Amino acid sequence: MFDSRGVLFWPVGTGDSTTFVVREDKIMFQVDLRHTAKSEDDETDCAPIIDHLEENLPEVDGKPYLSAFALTHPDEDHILGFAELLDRVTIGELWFTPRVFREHDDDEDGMCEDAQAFRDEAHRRVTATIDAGGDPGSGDRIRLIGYDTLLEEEHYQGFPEEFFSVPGHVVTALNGEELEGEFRAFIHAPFKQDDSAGDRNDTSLVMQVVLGDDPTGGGVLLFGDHKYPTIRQIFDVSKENGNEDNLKWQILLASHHCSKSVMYQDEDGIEVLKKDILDDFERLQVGDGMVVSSSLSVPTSNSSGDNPPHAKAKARYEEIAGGGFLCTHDDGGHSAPLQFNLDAGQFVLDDASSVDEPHSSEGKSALAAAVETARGSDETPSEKVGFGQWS
Amino acid sequence: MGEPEADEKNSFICVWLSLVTKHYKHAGGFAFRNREMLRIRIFPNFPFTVPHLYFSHTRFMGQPHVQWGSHICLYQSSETEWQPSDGLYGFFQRVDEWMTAAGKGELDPDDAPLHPPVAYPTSNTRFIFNCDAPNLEREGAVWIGRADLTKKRQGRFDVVGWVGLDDWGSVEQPEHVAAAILLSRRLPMEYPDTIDGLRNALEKNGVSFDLLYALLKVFAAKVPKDNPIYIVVGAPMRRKEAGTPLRQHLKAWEIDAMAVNALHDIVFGADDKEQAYAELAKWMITAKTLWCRIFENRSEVTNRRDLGSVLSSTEGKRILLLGCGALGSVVAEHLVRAGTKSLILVDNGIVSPGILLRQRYSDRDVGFAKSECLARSLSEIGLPTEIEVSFKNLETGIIDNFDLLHVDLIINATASAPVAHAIERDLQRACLLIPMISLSVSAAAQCGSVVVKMPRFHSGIIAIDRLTKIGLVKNNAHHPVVRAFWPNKSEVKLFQPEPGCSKPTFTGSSADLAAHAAVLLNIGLQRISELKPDQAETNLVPAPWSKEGSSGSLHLTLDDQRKALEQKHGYKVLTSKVAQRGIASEIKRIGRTRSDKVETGGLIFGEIDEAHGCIYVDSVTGPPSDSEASAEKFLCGTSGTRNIGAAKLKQSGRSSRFIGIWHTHPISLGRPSTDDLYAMARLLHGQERPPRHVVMLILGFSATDPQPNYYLFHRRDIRVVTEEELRLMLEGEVAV
Repeated sequence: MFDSRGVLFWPVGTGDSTTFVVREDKIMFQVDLRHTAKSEDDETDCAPIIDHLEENLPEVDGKPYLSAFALTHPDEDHILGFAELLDRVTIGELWFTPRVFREHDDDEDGMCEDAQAFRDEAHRRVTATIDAGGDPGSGDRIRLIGYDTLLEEEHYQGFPEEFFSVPGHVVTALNGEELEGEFRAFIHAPFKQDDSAGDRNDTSLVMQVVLGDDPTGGGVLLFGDHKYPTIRQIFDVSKENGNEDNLKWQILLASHHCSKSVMYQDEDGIEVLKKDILDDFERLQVGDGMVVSSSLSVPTSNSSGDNPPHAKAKARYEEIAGGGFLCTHDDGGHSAPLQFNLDAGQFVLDDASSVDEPHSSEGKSALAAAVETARGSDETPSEKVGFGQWS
Repeated sequence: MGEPEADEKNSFICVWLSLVTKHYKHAGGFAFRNREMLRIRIFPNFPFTVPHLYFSHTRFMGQPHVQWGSHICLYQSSETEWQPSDGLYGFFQRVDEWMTAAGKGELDPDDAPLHPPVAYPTSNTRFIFNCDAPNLEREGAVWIGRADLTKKRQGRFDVVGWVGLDDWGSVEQPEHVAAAILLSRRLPMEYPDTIDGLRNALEKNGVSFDLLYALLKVFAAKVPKDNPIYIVVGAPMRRKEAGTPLRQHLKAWEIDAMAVNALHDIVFGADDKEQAYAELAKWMITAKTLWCRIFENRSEVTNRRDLGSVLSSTEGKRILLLGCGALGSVVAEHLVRAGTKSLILVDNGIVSPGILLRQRYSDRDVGFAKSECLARSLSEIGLPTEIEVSFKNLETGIIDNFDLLHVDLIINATASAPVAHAIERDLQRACLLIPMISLSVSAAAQCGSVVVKMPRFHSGIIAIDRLTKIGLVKNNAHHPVVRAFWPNKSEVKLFQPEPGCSKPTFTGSSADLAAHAAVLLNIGLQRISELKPDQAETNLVPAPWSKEGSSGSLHLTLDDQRKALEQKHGYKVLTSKVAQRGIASEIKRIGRTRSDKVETGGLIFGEIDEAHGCIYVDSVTGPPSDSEASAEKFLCGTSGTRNIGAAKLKQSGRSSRFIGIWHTHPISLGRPSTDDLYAMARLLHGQERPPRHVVMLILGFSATDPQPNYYLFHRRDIRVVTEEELRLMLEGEVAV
């Protein structure tokens, strides 16, 4: 499963679980996790991701070994099962963004158990790192992602800068190993509190991951659960700082599980399409980019107030993605991840992981069928109809 | 589909449509995304204006039927294809068809005319391409040469010729020329809008920068400073019809004066050459391409708008047009527009003020020759017909006045009897082996007449008119059209525009005459394509707006008549088939009822035209009931002949009358016997009211192989003399 460099998006319901194979069967980088009890039941098509990881990760000291784990934000659909993962798998390095936990500082109960487990583990590692005065070694390593003033805070004073990244930084090391040429993550967000443009979801970690060293060839863009305002801000800031290459993508993980809030905004009670963000996505697409929705099947339409995935968002992505739109629950095999292997710098969808659609040219197009229906028939009535006298 | 949005000026509403493309995607077609967002503009007067459709992006720029980067060209001709009553149903059906074809890459299939590429005009100069472009012999070749221009006015050039580089020195160079680069490979569907882009496109197709630069210098040196130069750029991207080879799609690129000035400085070594190089380089890198507006007129890429019309049969023909008056001036214009190769305008009249109200002349023409004035206005149309004028007096005929070997068709629009007589005289002595159409209108222009004489019909207009009259009057004496052309004498009123001192003419407006001219010309040309070479036909057509209009038209087709030579005076004898049949059946009858050795005969009806030396034999009778016949003699009776003669006269509108007697010589030569001559003398001198001439037709050897022999006897041919005079004559003392 991890014998080819690339990236896997797991079918875990509407939630994110992404695995980067940085070095074949050696270095895996997991971003977010959603392992549900349901996924252990073969009747569903959700993948029991921890089982897969446990089974396929390399073993070190007799235990499956994950090089690094990054959390975009501690919502249940991004962290579910972390405690179990920690128990069953050795995690070399955690990527921790304190900013995403800030709102829970005064509300411990609002956080799910797995998020608490992540935070506790992160805090443990921060302390271990400070205590070690440098690299605490695999299993205790942590990469802090934040803003410049974070290290001035009480909990983080003395934290070594080599394990600290701010938006605008490039990370090329995982779990203490320098991987220049093999791995490159550009950190886009979260911004400082004052700069934050939206709600909790807008504090998610955002990054471009390139399995190489050239961002211009396009990488995988992970936006967590961000909505239009922050994504707009990310594009603007990147442009302003000459960093647009770091937004180039071959694969775009649709933010917030294909939420329409990426490109629609409520303005005075009217839902307005923000075409500017779609134009930017399209402009920074490299080749025939693919948009992946890590979600249950996208319905053909939604009612007002429906949670993601949203049909409207899928439609907009389909209009810009040269390589098409893929859904982890529609386009992969049963309980199998959508797997993209790296071939000469290009992410290529593994044939075995995709479901072939029936040939499309048979019958009428949707438009032709709609025209026919709208026009109506000119046949005489097929059933008797009765008429009576007025009384 | 999104919510409609009005534009700021409320000039349209915009609707976004997101279309699933699964059904349309195929290899080799447009690279659609899984969905394509389309923008529809619907205008206030929908459904009477077609909505516009655009892609939301410009990724398909350069593809066929996508213009301005995103505009989708849905209809080849929305005027005919768009049906308002079908509204958006039809619109979306067309969108579906377009997307299907685009997805398959079949928007410009090999078996259909190509949608030409576009270069959006950015210069005010107009180019008209009048002649076909050179063909490139092989793939990958580039044709470099010059386009010879005619400057029609400021800002308009007509391309009238092409000269390849090899022939540059040998073909005379006109005052205005453009460089020409014709490629053998396609350019993008939208021609580059920057000079840099165009330079790149040319370079990819084998035109090196050095070559382009050299061309620019050569052509810049040909014009004074501060003038633009032009380069015609072509690529094989046009096809007129299914299956035909690709032709050049031509555009004219204007090199602005600033760049030309820089080139001048470089070529002629100005002081500040560096500055010139810098300006030229800047122009090359930053300037937009100035594309001239193009009007295509090449036959290789355009279809004539009169394709398949009757008039189009005159394309490429050489036509002699007699008369440039009310009918002729209209006909001439039609012929020029139809692409007649050459036109000889014949009229020796001059333009008078009175004719302006119905003939194609203007005040400036008054006092000048009609033919010259008409030639000038026709040449102003700008079509390539070679026009020649002639002032020859047509009353002297046409054979001696014109080189008819180089004429394909004669159109007589003089409506002149003297001209018709002159042509008739011509035909007495020579064949006219080209078709002829003769047009005229009735006295109040309520009816038109067109006579078609095919090459091997031996008579002219006069004879055809006469035969038409005889043929039509018999059964249609009261038909309004017949009455219009052959009125009773009492009904004839001469119209003289200037009473007392001008030629009589007809009355009728310019509208009447234009309509008649067009209708009669079309009918005439149509009949030429249908008639046999030895036929003639007359069509009489009432004007639909006149009171005669509802009566319908009449026509009569004539077969060529048997032609013979009268033996005493050399008259031409034309015998109708009716007369031939009449004689033959009587010979049969006498043979059957009595003996083929018994003579028989009867009366001849027709006309003796002394002016043209022509005898028309229209019909014959058998022997009157009181006739006597034997093997030696036929005595022609008189019983009932007066009535027959009167009836014939009436039925023919007084054109066919008693002109003589026919009889047979069953077993001897058809030469007049003494009895025959005596009969002539009796006819011409022995009656109370003798005719002035009589035709005697003798059918020699009628029992076996009847041979007609015609003899015309004038009264003066037979003198009545006394016995004394006869004796003296015989003795030679009195002149015979």
